[in-house]
Amino acid sequence: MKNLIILLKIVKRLIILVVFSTLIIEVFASALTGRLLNSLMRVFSLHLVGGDTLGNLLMIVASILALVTLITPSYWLYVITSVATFLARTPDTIWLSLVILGLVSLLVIDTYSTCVSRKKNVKASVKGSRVYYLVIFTVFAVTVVLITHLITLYLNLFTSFMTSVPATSPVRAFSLFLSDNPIGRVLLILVAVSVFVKLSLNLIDAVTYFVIPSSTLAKSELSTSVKYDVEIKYPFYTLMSLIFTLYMAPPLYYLLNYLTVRVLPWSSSFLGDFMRSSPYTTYLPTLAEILFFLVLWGLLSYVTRFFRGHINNKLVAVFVFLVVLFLIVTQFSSLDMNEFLSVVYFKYYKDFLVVGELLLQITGFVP
Amino acid sequence: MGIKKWYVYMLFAVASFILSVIFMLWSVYYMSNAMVGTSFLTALAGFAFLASSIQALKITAYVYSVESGATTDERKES
Repeated sequence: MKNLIILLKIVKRLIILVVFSTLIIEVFASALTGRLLNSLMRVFSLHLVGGDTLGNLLMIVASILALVTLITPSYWLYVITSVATFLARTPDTIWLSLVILGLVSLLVIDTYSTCVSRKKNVKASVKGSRVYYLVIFTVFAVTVVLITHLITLYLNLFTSFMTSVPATSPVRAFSLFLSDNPIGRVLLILVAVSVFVKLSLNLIDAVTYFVIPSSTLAKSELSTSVKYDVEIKYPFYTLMSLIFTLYMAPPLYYLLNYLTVRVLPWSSSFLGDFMRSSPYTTYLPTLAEILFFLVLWGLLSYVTRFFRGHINNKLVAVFVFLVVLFLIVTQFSSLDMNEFLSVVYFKYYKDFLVVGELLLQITGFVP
Repeated sequence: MGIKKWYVYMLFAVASFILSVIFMLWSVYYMSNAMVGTSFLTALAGFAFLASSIQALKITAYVYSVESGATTDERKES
């Protein structure tokens, strides 16, 4: 038993060594020539010379991570290393398959070794011939590799068309962000992967039932498949929060806007170089405004949830406090209440319409 | 009648899979015409159809194993 576990550990490291062989060789080669120390110094001092691109830095980080992965065969480090390498250079299809197959085998070995070492604690097991396990494993591996290739093909198709968007179009900034910016690419890949992971899990579940049909398991699954995580809402909750938002959002927006206008000169001087160098400069105010509205609505939804959708003491107290505050402010300052309120509400709805139209333009719904 | 119940669910799964493929191709077409928003909306519809198709496939698998369960139970007893 002990020999088996040690053998599995060696097999794990061998798989990692095969998958990341080029990266590990690169680490040793650069360490021998002394280039590694130089690169590391540059990474840690954040002093980026013109020749250094983000890809080169990512390659250095990935090759060091590959060495750490070899020492501690953790699959999280494995995933992080491969993602860093993919970001640094466009993935080669054969290597992509190799990485995925390696990950699948690592996970299988991990599960098997836990099962072997804690055989007494295993409560449920599916009986079947060894051939079935082989069939399921093959189907699993082929499905994962195939789905990954389909995702990359689809995303490549998408991004290749994105770069062909005409330069005058307002969609250009959005498509550039998704196709050229590493953050945008990571976001796109993360969304695609999180969608496809759930789908492939369901697919493998279905295939398993077709290979080993177990009626008792299927019956229990069918009878317990109703999920009880339905969120209970109070009656008229939506209407109440809508009315609340209609009244409360404009003053809050006005206040936040006033504060941001005061803070903005400082932040723009701080971010000045970055903003001038990026190609999205013309869209930054719009994006900031959209973010602003999102923050405001998130705050308001939190407030309405806090009051649990019905009138209680807290809500009345807060409302009375606000009214009293407002009366005091208007009494001691020479503000005309009607005029002030009309300005506040007008500004909110005007900005709201402008931002809505710009948002539709940027995402390409409206020409 | 020789029609088994899981054929019906399988038909539903295949139909929604074809719909999802059509929607995804539409989304690429919209992207090539620089209609990014419409393209993402169509891609979302395609993914929704794909998810429903695979969910239907899962239900098909359950029904299939319940229907073919009698023979496996006999095999287990013997």
